[in-house]
Amino acid sequence: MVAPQRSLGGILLLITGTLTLIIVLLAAKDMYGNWRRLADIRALREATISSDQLFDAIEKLSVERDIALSMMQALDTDTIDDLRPRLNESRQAADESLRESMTTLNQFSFPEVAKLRAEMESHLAVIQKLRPEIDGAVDLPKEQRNPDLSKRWSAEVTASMQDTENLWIDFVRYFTNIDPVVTQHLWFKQLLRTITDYTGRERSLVGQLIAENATPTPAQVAQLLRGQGIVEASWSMSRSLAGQSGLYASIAPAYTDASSHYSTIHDMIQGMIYAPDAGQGAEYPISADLWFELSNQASDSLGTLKNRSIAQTRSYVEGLIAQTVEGITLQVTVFLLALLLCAYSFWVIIGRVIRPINQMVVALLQATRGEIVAPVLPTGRQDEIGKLSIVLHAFQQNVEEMKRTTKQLVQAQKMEGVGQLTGGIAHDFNNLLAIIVGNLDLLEEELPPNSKAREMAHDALTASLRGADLTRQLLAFSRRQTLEPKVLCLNEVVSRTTELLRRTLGGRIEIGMRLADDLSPALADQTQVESALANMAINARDAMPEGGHLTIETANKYLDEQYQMENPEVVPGNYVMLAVSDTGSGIPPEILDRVFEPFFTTKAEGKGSGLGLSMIYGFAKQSRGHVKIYSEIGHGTTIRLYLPRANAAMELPKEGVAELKTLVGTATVLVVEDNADVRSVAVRQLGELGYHVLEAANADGALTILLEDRTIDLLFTDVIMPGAMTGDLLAREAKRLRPDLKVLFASGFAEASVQNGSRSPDIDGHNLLSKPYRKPDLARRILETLQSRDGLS
Amino acid sequence: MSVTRLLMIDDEPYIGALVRRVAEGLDYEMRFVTLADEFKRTHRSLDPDVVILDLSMPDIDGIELLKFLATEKSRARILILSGFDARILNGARRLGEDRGLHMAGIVSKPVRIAELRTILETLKTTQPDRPND
Repeated sequence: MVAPQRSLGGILLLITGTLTLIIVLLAAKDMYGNWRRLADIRALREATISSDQLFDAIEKLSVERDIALSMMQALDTDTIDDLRPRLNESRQAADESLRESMTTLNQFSFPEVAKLRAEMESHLAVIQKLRPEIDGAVDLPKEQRNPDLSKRWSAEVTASMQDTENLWIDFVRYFTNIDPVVTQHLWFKQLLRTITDYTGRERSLVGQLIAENATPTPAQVAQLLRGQGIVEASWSMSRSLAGQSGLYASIAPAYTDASSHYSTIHDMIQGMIYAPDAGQGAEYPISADLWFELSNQASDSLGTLKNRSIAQTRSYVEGLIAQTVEGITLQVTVFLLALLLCAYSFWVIIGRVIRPINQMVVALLQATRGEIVAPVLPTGRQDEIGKLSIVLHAFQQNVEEMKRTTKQLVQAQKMEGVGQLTGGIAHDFNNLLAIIVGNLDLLEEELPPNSKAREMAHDALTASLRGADLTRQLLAFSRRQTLEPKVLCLNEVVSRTTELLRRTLGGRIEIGMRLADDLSPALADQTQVESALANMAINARDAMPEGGHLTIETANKYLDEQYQMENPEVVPGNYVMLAVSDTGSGIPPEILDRVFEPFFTTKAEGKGSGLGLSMIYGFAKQSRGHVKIYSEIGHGTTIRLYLPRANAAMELPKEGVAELKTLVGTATVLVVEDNADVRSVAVRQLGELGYHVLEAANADGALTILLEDRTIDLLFTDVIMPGAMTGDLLAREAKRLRPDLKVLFASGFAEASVQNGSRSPDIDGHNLLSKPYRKPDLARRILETLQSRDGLS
Repeated sequence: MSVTRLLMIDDEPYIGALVRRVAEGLDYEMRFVTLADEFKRTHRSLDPDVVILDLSMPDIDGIELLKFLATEKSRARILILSGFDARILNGARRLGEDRGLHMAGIVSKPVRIAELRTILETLKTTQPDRPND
């Protein structure tokens, strides 16, 4: 990857990476917080279970305490003996509850629970120290019993219980940080416990009073309760219950219930205290039995309320745990999604931004260096990169086109310059040769026959005449020969000349002809046409020393503006074409442009003048025609001579232009062509026709694209390409990979030549488009092939 | 047999010498000039039967000479002997014919002596009778 500090893509990656990292860190922090909270809430559960059991134990201890207190108050009566079994019963219940509570506390590791346990243990120690004292005091004879013990005992137990409850308050406060609702639950349970405790003490004391004195006076009751500090506690409890506000929904109804239960008991006491003062004592005869029944009902009701509260608290805490676990799950999901998003962003940035940009940089560099190796650009995308690549692609094509045009222009100027030069030289030479030849003629006449001097004059004359011949050819090239254009039927000229040529060409050359039946007459000098055909045939023969196929073809052709763009010297219009193809050694592309230059020859010294093609060139130009050569190394050469149509002054084939509008398509075409110029023209024309175009410079590149998972409807391939795989083999392989693929071949050789020459059995007139082709031809053939049943016949 | 008069203009004297050898061998009375003014003067004084023109000379406009001959209503048969430029040669021939001149033909350089001799012989034997003879 490119170093981040120098690459836009790197910066994008850095930004994306950083943002994602922040998201991931935030998610991780939340996750950690929730893990912590989960641990806290689990501790909360431990704590609520512990506290419930502790309260139970404390309550049992309170019962024991209350009975013990009752006994202390009844030291001088016989009632004490009735209370003894109840005291033992309550001790047993308290011990059992404490054991259970301790077992639970021992299971939990939460530090606050450990503190509670320690406190409970010290409280237990106090109780266990006092129990024998009480037993001792009670066991004494009635007269020896010490009432003072009662007060000390009560104070000690109450102080110890107070310590435990204070610790409880700290414990609950600690949980406020974790969950305020749980805290309210805990406070509420403590409140219920206190109510139970106080009302228990109230009712036992009042009950005792009623039992001893069937109609106690209000003053007696008030004195009794005040003496125990219960009235004040009761008032404070009332205020506490009434003053609760800001309660959570889960706890508010329970408070209301508790308040009403407390009122039930408290109202009774209030009634007992104050009603007799209002003179209603006679109407308020409360028996001891009725009192205990009422107070037990109230007590049961509070107990139920407390149990319900415990169940509520536990379900609330379980809910909290479930909620937190859910939260953690969600956060883990978000975390993973963020990671995925990050990976996807990286993938997108690298694949859709960095790579295409690098591709385009390479393409631009290549274009700058003038290499015509166009890498496949990510065209076909709708985004900015796609638009940029389309522009770049157009730029590439423009550069290539400019190079091509420049090359053609330079070549044309060169030909023009050489033409003028040779023309001028030839003129002067002709004047000189006129003198030399004339005088040698005269000299030869003057000299005696068979004399050595005459022989010498003759040799000089022969050489001069060869010089004159060369000069004539040069004049032909420089378009200054004498022409006598007339209306010709090229087919006749070809037939006649070919008969004469058969012997010259020898038996090893097989001559094929495809002459257009409806061939238009041409306007040209017949002798020069014959000479041109002979020249082309002899060149073909020389290219095929081992024999081969020579194909002569005639056809009507319209050279359009597109053709003119590539061959600037051509005037668009109707032409009659004479094409000669061979299956010989071919001409290397680097010298193909130069074959028309005078004295340029690839033949061995003395085998050719190097003027044959130059003469054809000059003749074509002087006749307002055009000559074009196409060649592939190892496969052969086609030379096309275009001569103006005799009666075709300026007629244009309108049908071609009009028809073009109906010949558009939207299919995807893979263009395979080794010549970058030809490829870019095909790609542009197909693009203009609406096709989606993919391109490859050779069979390997094409197969790579074919192996990708892309839609390709038609393979448009050159027949002859460098490398092991030619177009027809590529087509076979492509059909094997994609049986539905349609195939159209293109060849620079004349159509008849491709078939006559048996270049491939797969290729016939139905799937071959002969280069150069006009845009309407390309459009029609592509459309026909797409609509055909099969690309290969 | 009367003497046939031949006037020739060419910027190259050696060509003139060459043609003179052939023409005098055929009993032509030949005058050779290299300049346009001289050609016009000689044409008036000589009233030639045959004129040989080189159209492509560096400082003489051959077409101008054709126009001159037309203006003079030259009755001479005119032979164009030139090195190159078929279009101009053909154009010149058409021009001469249009102006009523007797265009005898075009001979490309380098001309073979045998060919030249045949042409000159033909011109001499087919020489129409001169009105004032």
